Amino acid sequence: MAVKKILIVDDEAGFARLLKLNLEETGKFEVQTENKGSHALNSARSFKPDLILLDIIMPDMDGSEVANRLKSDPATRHIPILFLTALVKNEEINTKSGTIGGHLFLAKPVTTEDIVRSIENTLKEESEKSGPELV
Amino acid sequence: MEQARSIDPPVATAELQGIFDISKKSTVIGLRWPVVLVCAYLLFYSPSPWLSPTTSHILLLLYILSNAVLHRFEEGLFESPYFYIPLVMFDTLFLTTSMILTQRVGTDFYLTYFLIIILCSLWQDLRWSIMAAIFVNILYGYVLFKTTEIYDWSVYLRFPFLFVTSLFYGYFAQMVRAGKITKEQAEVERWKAVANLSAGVAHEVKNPLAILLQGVEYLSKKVGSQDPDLNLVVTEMEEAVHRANSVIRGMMDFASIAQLSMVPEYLNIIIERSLLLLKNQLDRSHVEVIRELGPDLPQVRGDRPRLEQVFINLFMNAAEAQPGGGRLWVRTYRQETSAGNRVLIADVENDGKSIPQENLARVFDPFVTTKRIIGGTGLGLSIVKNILDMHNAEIQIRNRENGGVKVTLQFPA
Repeated sequence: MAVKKILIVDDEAGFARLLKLNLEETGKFEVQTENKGSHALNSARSFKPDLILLDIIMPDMDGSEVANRLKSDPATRHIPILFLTALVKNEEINTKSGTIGGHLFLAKPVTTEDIVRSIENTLKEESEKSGPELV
Repeated sequence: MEQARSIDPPVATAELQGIFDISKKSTVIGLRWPVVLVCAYLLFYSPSPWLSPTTSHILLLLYILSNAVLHRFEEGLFESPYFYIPLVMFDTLFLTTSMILTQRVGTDFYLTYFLIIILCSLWQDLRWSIMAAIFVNILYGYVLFKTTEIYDWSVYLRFPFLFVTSLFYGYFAQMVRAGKITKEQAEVERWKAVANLSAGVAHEVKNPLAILLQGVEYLSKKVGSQDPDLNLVVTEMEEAVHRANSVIRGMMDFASIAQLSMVPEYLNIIIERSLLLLKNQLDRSHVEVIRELGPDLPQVRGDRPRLEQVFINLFMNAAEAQPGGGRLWVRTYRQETSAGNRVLIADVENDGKSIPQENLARVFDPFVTTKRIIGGTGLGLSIVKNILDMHNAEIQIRNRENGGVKVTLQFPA
């Protein structure tokens, strides 16, 4: 499986850095971090990630606004988003279908194992939606 | 995003319960008995020239029966103006008729009208007391001047006396009512403040916990198997993060309690759903569930997810109290309290371990747990109690004589 590019957008710089380390440690991902919601769009355009891990509560621009902008930009609208949030509990994922505005979300604190599984599931679903990859 | 949920404080349920904090139905019935007694005295001891003793007795018997029959009526009926106004008018007319027939209109028996005025002031607000006073004054004035020839000026004092007293009772009842509602509003506000604080703290603590968890995971990979002590340290740190997260989740549960969406719900359905959610766990623990759910029970006003949380918590406690298997009884039924209120009861009973006597009084205190070793945070029953408080429901926990625990929940029906 090819290395997937992941963009982490989270104002908690420490969390983003450590998650980057852990994800890259698996050997499955190439990770870039961004600590400002307002810079996420430019980072997504330039980095061209396969998936974005997006925090919800950020001081300059909240995650839902960032997601809206990414979805309204033709260059980034195809990129799947996984929300990361400290606002909800894992139990609520079951009661709310695990989605925020149609995007999956993960409740912090979350293990790297759970994040990797969610990333892989999301990427798998996306590839099934868009058909077989052309080589 | 978080759904906006309506806040439905228990203010709505702070409806009139009678000024003595017993049910309104009981207060009304209790106040009617003195009126019955006065009428009984008039009809028995003041033989009427127009009524035979048999007719008097039949009339009185009917009146007594009417008050006895009120016991059978629903509490909610006493809130309806279509029931309450005719009831008070009937009492007024019956009392007046008794005075006319026994030729006691001019006597001090007019004081019995005060009971009628109190009945009105209990029902609604000051306006109703004034309206009752006007009605009683007009009726009494008409009857007085039509049936007697009393022209003593002191008799005229009775009218302002009745009116002023009705104002006093009405004002007094309104103040008591307002005080009660304000107290409950203050409680809701206090809860909302605690909830906001909990949600804020939870959010602020979860982010550092997320960093710690990622850091510990990274370290655990780097430490590898070189040093068993380092492995132990990292494992302990990871467990500590998860434990702290459990506490934070409990705080978030507290926070969400203040956001209840109260709608009519069937308790039996909530219980069945909760049992279904825990089916695997109860089966694994070899807990036999014995359902004794009452048929045709009325709905309760409640927030379904939160009430499910209550029952799930109680069922899990029951399962954990009997690790080797046992029985779990779940009963629902209707009951009338000593104050005359109809309530819905849900019993959750198990024949597992009892709660140590010294812990019984503290089971609802936060962070009190006998299950710390298996990850208990001591917030479960505390949250249960708070959810039930927000539903104006009560909870009682006691040990069974032959071992096990019985939890009784009482909901206003």
